[in-house]
Amino acid sequence: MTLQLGFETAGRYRYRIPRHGTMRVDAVFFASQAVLEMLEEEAYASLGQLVNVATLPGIVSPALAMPDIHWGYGFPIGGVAAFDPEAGGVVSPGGVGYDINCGVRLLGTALTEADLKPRIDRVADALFRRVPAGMGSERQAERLREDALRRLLVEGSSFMIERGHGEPEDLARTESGGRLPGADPDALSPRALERGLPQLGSLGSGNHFLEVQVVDEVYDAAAAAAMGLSMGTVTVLIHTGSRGLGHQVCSDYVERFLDALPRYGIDLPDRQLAAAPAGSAEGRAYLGAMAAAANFAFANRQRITGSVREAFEDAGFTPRDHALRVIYDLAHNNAKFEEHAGRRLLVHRKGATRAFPPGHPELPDAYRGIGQPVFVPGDMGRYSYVLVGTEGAMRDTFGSSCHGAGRRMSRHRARKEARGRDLLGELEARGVTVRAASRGTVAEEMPEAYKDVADVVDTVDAAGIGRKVARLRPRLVVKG
Amino acid sequence: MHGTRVRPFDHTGDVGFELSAPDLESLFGAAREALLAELMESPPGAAAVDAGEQPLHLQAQAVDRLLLRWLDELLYQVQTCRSVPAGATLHIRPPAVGGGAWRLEARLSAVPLDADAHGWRAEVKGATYHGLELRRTRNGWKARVILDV
Repeated sequence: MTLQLGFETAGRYRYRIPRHGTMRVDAVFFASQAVLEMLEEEAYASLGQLVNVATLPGIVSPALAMPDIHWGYGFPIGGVAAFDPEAGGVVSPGGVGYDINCGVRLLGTALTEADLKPRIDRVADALFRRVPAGMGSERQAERLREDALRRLLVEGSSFMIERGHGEPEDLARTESGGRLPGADPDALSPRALERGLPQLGSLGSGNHFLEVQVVDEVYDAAAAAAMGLSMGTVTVLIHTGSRGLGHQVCSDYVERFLDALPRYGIDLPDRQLAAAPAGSAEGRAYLGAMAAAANFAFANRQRITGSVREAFEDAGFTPRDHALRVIYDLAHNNAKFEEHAGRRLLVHRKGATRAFPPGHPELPDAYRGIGQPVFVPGDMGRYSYVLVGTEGAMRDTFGSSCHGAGRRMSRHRARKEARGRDLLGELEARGVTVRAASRGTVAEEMPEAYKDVADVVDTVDAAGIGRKVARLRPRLVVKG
Repeated sequence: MHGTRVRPFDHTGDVGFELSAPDLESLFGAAREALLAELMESPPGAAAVDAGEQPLHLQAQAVDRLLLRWLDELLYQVQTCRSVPAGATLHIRPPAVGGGAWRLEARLSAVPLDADAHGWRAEVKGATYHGLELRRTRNGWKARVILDV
């Protein structure tokens, strides 16, 4: 059946935009009826972006968008694109985004909701004190020296573990072992380094958060058990990325790539897609810088993990009480070389997560039988989900799945709708304690500003590109 | 500045604004004000400045790229240096005949950032090229910019 604006159904919750014009490949997106309506509301801007991605050199069919698709810049949010370096495939800094290797890390605990409830304000205050959040949040007291930062950019999470902010076993439970290879600190500008020096271990602002949650639904008991999740247990979800260092890398390389476009004969429909062949001098330099920024992001979440442990101890829980441990850490803004159908491809995920299936060699032993954990944050009032990767994702989406709810309301509109409301009081009434550095951020990030993540996750599950394991209810949210 | 307008527009994930002004200097000045209004609820005005001025020189191959460099520089000043460019005098020069770059020369008058007093809203990660427009019109100049938040 052909629908309006040139897309056609291609399966359950699956739509295809056949190759036309300057597209090199088809585009495929996943959507429920609610998502289709949202796409129409934003005048199909995100589908236009997906079509633009399909024009890039060396792209391998198809260009993809997950059901949390929405209008971004360059790539749509929720976009996945794989490029074949052997066929002139490109790397695009705008396709990775400003917040390089932004991601989520889920921590498990031995605590129950009953343990948490009497101390929730103490935990909230301690987390807000221990984890810098908000504008340009920094740890000036722990400001790195530049030589130490350069080491961290190569070593990633292990740099922080060596300094006591985590356990060696955390590495196996972090995507890519918490370190992308090929990092080149010399490929970063002095300004990128300057921006990174004070910001390690900070949350930032916008949609970044730290959330203490309770498991309130289990859909797959075996997979949940493998992750140590059961009804009523407390978890902690950390969402942040590479901070100003990553933002600067993106800005620097978009500029550099724009200058290089004529050299490679690349004609772009959107300059934010600035790209260069992955094997070119510019491409190699960006990949080295991007890996360094990715390692900063891994180390950032590792450092915050240490602060979370300290905060729970400040609130009176002993290490034995809380038993905080990393369940998994995965990114949703990066470009990585991966094997797909016998080819080595450079897979860009922009607001999309890796979701490898059971048996994949990159998974730690604990998850080899169930598939890679995938965490899908919702909004601060409702819920988030734990999923696992599937064979369907490996076959149909280059081993990728969704990364969140996706916004339904612009930030301006959210601010207007929040006027005159006591959002913190409303959240408290729903059982959610909030500590925020800025009222403005709470307004922009209010629950109604997001789609219902349940719809996104149900679409992923029904389309076979992820499988539901458990649902997590927020009890405490720290925002920038 | 007479005839200078800033209009925020809805963007699902990020924020954007459209600008119009009779000349480029006014347009770049309006972009500074629009950026500060995204970052904070009560940005300080030039009257709040009690320190000296700081020179700034930027250049780019195209005028719209110069606008993005300007915005990125302002973001760096606020978010990394914690210095709010509350006022700016600007001069923008087109490329010389036969080629060259667009040049911006500015003097920024800054106020130390006070996140509480200025009503800090949220960090901006960068100014993007997505949908970027800067063009001459019958009455001056128009621009459209999307910021990644």
